[in-house]
Amino acid sequence: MLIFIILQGMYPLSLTAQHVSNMRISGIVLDVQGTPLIGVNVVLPASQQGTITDAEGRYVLFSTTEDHILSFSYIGYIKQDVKIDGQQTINIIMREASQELEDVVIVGYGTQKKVSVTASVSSIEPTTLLAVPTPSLSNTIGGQLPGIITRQESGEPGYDGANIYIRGLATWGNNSPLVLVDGVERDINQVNAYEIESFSIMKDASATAVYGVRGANGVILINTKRGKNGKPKVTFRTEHGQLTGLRFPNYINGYEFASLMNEALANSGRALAWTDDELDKFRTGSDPYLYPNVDWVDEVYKRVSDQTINNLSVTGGNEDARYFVNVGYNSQGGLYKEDPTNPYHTNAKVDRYNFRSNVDINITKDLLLDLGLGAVIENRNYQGTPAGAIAFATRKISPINFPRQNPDGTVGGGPGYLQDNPWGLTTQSGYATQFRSTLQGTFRLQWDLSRLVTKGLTLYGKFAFDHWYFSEVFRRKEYEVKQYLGIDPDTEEDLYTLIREGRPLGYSPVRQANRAYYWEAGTNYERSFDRHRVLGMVLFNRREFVDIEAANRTGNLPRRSQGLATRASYDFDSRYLAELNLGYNGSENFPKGKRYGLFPSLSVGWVVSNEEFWTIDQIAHLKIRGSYGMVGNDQLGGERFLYVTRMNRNADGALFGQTQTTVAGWAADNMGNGTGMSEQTTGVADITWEVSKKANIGIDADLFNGLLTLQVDAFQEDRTNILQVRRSIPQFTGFMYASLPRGNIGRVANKGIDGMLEVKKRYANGFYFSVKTNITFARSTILENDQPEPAFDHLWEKGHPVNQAFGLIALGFFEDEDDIANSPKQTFMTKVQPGDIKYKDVNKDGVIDIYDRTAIGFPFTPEIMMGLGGYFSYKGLDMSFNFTGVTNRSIYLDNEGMFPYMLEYPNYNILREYYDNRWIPGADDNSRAKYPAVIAGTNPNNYQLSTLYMRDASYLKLKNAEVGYTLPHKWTQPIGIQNARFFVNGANLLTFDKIKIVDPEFISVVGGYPQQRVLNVGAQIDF
Amino acid sequence: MTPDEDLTLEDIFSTRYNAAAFQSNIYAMLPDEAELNLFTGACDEMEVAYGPHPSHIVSNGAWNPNNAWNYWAGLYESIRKCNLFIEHVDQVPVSHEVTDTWKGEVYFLRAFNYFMLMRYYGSVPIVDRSLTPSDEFTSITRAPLQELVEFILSDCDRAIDLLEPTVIDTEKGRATSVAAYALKSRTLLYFASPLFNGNADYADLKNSKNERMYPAYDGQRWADAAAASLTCIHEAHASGYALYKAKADLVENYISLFVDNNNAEWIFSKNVGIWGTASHFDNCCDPVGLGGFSIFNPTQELVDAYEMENGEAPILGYTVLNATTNEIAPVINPASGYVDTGFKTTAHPKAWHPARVHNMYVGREARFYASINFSMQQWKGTTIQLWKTGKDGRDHAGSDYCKTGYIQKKLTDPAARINPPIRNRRARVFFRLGEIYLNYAEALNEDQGPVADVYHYVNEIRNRVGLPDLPAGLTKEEMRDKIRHERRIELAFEHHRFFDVRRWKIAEQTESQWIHGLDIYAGTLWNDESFYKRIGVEERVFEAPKHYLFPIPQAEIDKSRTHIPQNPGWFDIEDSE
Repeated sequence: MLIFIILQGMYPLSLTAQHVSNMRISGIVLDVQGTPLIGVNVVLPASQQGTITDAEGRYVLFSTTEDHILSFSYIGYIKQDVKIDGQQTINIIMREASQELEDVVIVGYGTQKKVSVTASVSSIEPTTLLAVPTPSLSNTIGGQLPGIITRQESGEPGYDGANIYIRGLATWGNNSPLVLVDGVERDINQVNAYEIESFSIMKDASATAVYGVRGANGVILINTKRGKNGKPKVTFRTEHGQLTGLRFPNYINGYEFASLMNEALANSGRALAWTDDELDKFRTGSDPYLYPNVDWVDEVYKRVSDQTINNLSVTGGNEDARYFVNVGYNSQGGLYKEDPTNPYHTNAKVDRYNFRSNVDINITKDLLLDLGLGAVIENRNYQGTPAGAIAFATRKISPINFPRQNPDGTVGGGPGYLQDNPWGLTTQSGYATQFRSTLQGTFRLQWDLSRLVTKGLTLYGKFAFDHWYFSEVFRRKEYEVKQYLGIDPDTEEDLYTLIREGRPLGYSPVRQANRAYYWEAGTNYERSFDRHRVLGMVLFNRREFVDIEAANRTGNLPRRSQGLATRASYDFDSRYLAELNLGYNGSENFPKGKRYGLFPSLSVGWVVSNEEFWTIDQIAHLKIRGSYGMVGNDQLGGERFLYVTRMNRNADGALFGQTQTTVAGWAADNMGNGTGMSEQTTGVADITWEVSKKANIGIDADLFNGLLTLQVDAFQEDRTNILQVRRSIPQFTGFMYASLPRGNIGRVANKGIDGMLEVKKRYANGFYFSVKTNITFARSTILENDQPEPAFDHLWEKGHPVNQAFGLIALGFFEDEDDIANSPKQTFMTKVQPGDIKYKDVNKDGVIDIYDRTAIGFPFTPEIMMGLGGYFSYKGLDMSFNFTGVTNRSIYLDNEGMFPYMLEYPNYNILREYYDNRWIPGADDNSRAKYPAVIAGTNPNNYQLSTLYMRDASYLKLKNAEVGYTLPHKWTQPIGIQNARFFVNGANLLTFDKIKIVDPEFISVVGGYPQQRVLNVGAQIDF
Repeated sequence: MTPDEDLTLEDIFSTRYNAAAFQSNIYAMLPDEAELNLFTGACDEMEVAYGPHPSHIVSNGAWNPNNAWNYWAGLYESIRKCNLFIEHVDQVPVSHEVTDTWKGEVYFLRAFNYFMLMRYYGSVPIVDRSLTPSDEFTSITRAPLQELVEFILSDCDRAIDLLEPTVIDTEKGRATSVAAYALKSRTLLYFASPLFNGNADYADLKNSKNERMYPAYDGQRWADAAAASLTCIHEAHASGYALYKAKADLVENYISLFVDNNNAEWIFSKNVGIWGTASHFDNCCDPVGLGGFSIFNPTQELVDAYEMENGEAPILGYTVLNATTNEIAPVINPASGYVDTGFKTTAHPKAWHPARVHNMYVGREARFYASINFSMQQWKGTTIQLWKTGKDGRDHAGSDYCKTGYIQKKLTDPAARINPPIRNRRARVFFRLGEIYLNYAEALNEDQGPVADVYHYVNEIRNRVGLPDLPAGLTKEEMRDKIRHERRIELAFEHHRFFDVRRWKIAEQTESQWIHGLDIYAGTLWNDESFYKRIGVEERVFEAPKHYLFPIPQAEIDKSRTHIPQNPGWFDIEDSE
């Protein structure tokens, strides 16, 4: 600040300088986004001349003969000195001080200079996360950085988070990565993308060993924004968008459904259900109450909804204190139709309010205090019936079962499951409201001991407090359901059967809460001596998590873990690098004496390009690195204290006596009396965590003067001690499945590669582009899972990936009775007919049965995920896009909807995919049939998991795209606006795949809430 | 750092309450077989009209060692609990009188669980102590059947020593010495029956110790079975057990026999409460017009088997009318007075049926009206209408629709209502005196022919429901048929038939034919004859000898291939390699 004033004072001086100029130097100063920077100090130190840039970032100076250096400085940005060397135009891109991120990499419990990193770490520019307009962070990262694999299964507001795996699956146990927000374990989907300063993933043993027993599944590190020196900078960003549901199930209509019933009956040699006259009524809709044709999908879902994302932040500060404050409001609506006569809303809606304040205070020159406070409040609204039950009803109620509403306006329905009118469940079953709040506090005090003890030594302590509260109030309603029977011929009045009486709105609240404390204290030492650079770190941490509203005693016990982490790294001349990481930690989830584990890793690196012999100018930077080490995974599927043999005190008890009381003498009007006791868990004395031995080699390279950046890693992992039920113990021992002893016996190998390549260039005319692509490939192989020896070798699970499907190989359809007679006998039902699926006799025993199942297809978690992103800017205009692709993934188009009459003829809606592609008895040409014929009943032969229903679930999605325009600064600055950018963006814009009938990220056609396309307009204004 | 509340096995047996709760859980594991009607649905008694119902894989022959109902694991789980209880009960700080009674009950429960294993799987491994994961399992093999039977009998004898013949009202549901006698009666009857007694298909089966699993034919077993049954009858009579005759009306009496919980005829039963399996069962038996599922559908074959009130069989056989629809016509017994066409316009004199019913349902024995609901019968204040357009018919039902034109009535609670709900506490009977009478008659007839006691006990059962005595002078074979018929009717829906046809080795006839029902896709009025046709409902599949016993679960075979041989006919690794 002081310098700024002095320089301003010097400004007039230059005009009157004695050393008359002999050369005019001019240029433009831009930031990394290509935005002109106004007010940058441009100084010729030798001749003591200076100026500041104008509204378009331009400057002009006249140098003297003594000037060789031109210096650019700007508060919050890195100072740059440029050799003049006779240049008349010098354009400069200024990097923000925090943009040192490019040179500094976030690693576990600290940062490191990029050049000296030997671990496998990848990170993402936080601004790219903002280009995907969706509230759940987990949905924005798939395909954005190497090493990550994601899969989103639902688009339902509030429940749309994706599953995240780092480098695939290496266990069938818990395979979620550890997520740390500001160094504290927190929910990734609670983080507002706008508040993120850095997002990195730790992949190999070197990067994760400090997390010890928590590190084996990889670690995601997210840091929130912090304040920067400078006057207050206010940013307001607002976006409003339209959500469009994609790929709603396409079911056949009433006429087709009734016709198919007749086709099924004919194929089963039975009398037809509907006359031509009746079929005509379904087709024409002439009798909509007794011969209805209801499109239930259309009655339940509307096609579009909306969302809004808004954030207002202020950041600034000075030498003494810096701050970042943000408030955010998101709202996302659901795709359900409502009944306007209800006095309340039933459609899903999530309103989320974010608040974050990060303040850094220099109490003294050596003492730095960071205070971070975050809060998230959510109000949610849902129907009285959960989305899953509505989707289920929409699948099972056929278009001809009953009308949406009866002639008298009551809700149509029938006996048994037919009372689940999908429209009724959606609009008439009341509503539920949720309130969720999250409070996150992080406090850190750092003491720089450089002056007191030795240079480069710091000491710090940290405490974090998190509280999560959830309450849901169900206002469910049993609405009246009646079945319309037609008109009484005698009285000419409408006849009904009352299926269910209506009742008023109910009231039932549910509450959940938890809290977590986190302590950390440590010391860092970082110093260079001549050509040697050393870094050391030791820390202690402890976490205590309590499920405050746990349903049982054990669940309420605090979950504690604690440990030590240490790092020592050495860098000789930025050429030879070595690093040792150690985690020593554990939890009370394991037996005494077995609670702590030591997890070491060692990594080395060689910066070839810094060697004297390196003369290849095109490759400015080339580093080869490798690591090996051990990490653990103590997340044993949420189970606790598996070393203790425990009794179940809530087992079923008998009812004794004529009044049927329990042992305790209580009258029992309900089943499931929790008055019996039984064995529950058979303790395993030596229960322990999973151990992963990981090896990684990688290269980093910068080529062609920063035009091209490359990072490639190859990895191999050997995961042992995977906890599982001991499958080899016979059932005649009498252990219940739940009480069967567990053992750390599973073993999985996982290997693959991940990498990224970025090409970027800025041209003098201001055009900038960057194209970034990345790929992750991970393949797991089960080495041991205690599978008893199967009847045939092809039934071994060993040697296949985790989640491998086993099914039959379909050869097509039986053409005729001769074909059946000449084929192996298929045993899944009494007899097969022409049009039924013909399977391969894999074990060649002349009979088709379950022993002919074999490994088919790829697992449902993709083995390969790719991303391709581009960013272009020119003057005020910018454009970006991101493609995400997945391959080596199979899903099965089977089950309800594709298996006609799976729950007995004639139930369940039938997808058009089946109807249009079925084998039709008596048809002239069935050669193009994709699915078997229909019979009037269940068809166990055709319902087997087989290659017939297997589909390649590869996809390529245009995950997001954005076009923005920044108004010229000469327009906005006079009115006090630094920057005004308007943009249009979208998510899930295009999908290229082979599935077509359901989103390719879903597991089967029995999808739930559809995924959505987002089209968004927004503006960001910086003051 | 585990909570104090966590119990160990030692803690369980250190207090009276906890030990009682552990024992209570063994009782709670006894099945409520009526709830799903697996065995009724998988034999010629019934079709369960629910698509995914597990009876279907058995009736259509699609079961295999991977998908067959796994009783193996659950029964051994109960047996483990029994073993743990017997091993630890002496530690409980209560008097010996208490622990002796508890122990007696658990011996009975262990024997009962082993009997059920025998009924599904034949010979099985005997596990008489609680095993630990570190035990050597390969020495455990399937015991020869006589060893299993001896084990069951010896557990029963210990129970008889330790238990009283009856329990007081507040303890109903607990085992008694009479229950143990009844279990001996049934076990020995099964052991004497053709499936297990000299079955040529099983003659060569050996376990891993090279012992013959099913011993050669021994006629003495029928005498043993008869003696055990007679002992049971005497012990029962001496302690006040008797055939149930509480209600004057014969139909009402037979209905009440199963609804009047723990009455004098019941020897061992399970209380099943009000909701859960109990109410679900009643819902399955109510027509859709009452909000029920109407899925427990007796076959036409069973309906036709009920005798006329005069004791004559109405139908002697069938002729096929249409091979496509499997429509059949009955061969009527002229002596019976049965009429297969037309309608009756007057009510039964004792109101067993109302006016306006099909003649098929006229003049039948009391148990027919107490066991089967049919169209136009009065039920819970409404008239049942199962023809196509009737209020309970196909047109008005969803996935749950009556498939045969009949709904199970026996065992349901006539006082229960779905909407608004009215429910009573229910109990299911495992052993009742009526069954023991028929066990005795069957074993005695096989041992000595139709002697007086055979007539006496069958006629006791028949007379109780108003039927005349069996004709005198029957041959042993004729008497055998009469007893088999009497078991089919008297014990219908009580989960006997499925096993009876197997132990008699007649399942390859009874279970491999079409079952029939009325044409539920026809009929617009109560007197529309198009509905009252016998149409094929399902072709049943039974392959001998495979389907006589359940397959041992494949997962168990995979673990125990060297020492647990699979049952004959089911896929066995040895067969294919």
